[in-house]
Amino acid sequence: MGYTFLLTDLTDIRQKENQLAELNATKDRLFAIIGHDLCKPSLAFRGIGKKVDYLLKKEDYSTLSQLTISLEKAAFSLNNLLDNLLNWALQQRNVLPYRPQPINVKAATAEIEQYFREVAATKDIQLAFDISEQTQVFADPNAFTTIVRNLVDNAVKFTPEHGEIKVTDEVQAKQVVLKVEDSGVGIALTELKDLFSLSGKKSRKGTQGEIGTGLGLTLVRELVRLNRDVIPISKTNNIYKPILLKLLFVENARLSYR
Amino acid sequence: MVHTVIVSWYVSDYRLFQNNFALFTKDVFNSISDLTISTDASLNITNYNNKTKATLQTDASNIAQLLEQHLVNNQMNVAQSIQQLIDDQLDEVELTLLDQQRK
Repeated sequence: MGYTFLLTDLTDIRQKENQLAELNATKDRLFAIIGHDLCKPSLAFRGIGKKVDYLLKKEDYSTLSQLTISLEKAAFSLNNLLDNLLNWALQQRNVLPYRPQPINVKAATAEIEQYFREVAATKDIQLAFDISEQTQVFADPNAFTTIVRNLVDNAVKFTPEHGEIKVTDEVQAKQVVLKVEDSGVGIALTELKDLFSLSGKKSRKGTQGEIGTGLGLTLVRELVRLNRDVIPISKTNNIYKPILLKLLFVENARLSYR
Repeated sequence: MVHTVIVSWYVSDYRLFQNNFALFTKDVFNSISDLTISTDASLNITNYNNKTKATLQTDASNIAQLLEQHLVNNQMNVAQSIQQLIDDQLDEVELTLLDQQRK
């Protein structure tokens, strides 16, 4: 009498289970993002017609002006979140468009600067975009602006009142390094490992209770990956260089250590 | 269906080319993609296939001893688990092993 044992390798099955669990957690997190963050700015639009009508009849143009600013912020916030969600969804399906081209950094960040200057002002944060008008990089415009917007948004969120944020460019060797430096609260080293993971991360609130979804930085990581392998192109007297997106991010993270 | 195929192979090839039961068993075992180990009633290893040899390189003579050598942690009592399998208390046991290369 004897026995025969079969030992089946379950490694692949377990790995797939883990991937599935992570996807499921990511899905749950996205629902949470939509539930919390999407609702908040959209509330600003509720009953807007009646409010405008009331203020017009009352000829209260000052309050009306404040309302438009508030609406503008809500719209930008909403648009930012939807844009991130769309990009993330495209990235998950590996269909995120990638069309690199020469970009003037100053021009590409102008709208971001304008919006965040107003947001930063509400926290009395000094926001300075010190970027040369000549700096050009070779990257996907949509990915580039999404990265910068999320990094600056993150900096504003985690910088306390009367703080300072500097966005600067620097040509190093054959690359352009764009730095987003802030005097913010930083992040503990123990939390760094979850910084880019959407599934395991706990939401961190900003210095004024701003909700941090984690979607922005996760997206930044993926877009940085997408733009790392760009081929540098050169031009006489005005050299186009691949933006060192990895450095762009690493520099920012390093400044946030505590 | 798989079982039928093996028997068919046994009838045709064993009678023509094999005269040793251990060799025949080895051939059958090698046709199985999983790690396959046979033991006697005392769980001493009597045969195993090439996949087992490649994955668990060892000279252990007992299956419990063999598996224990490759456990990620040695806290689990493999012999006890195997006995539960034999006694039909469990349908299967899941162990986390490291193969020789990763170890």
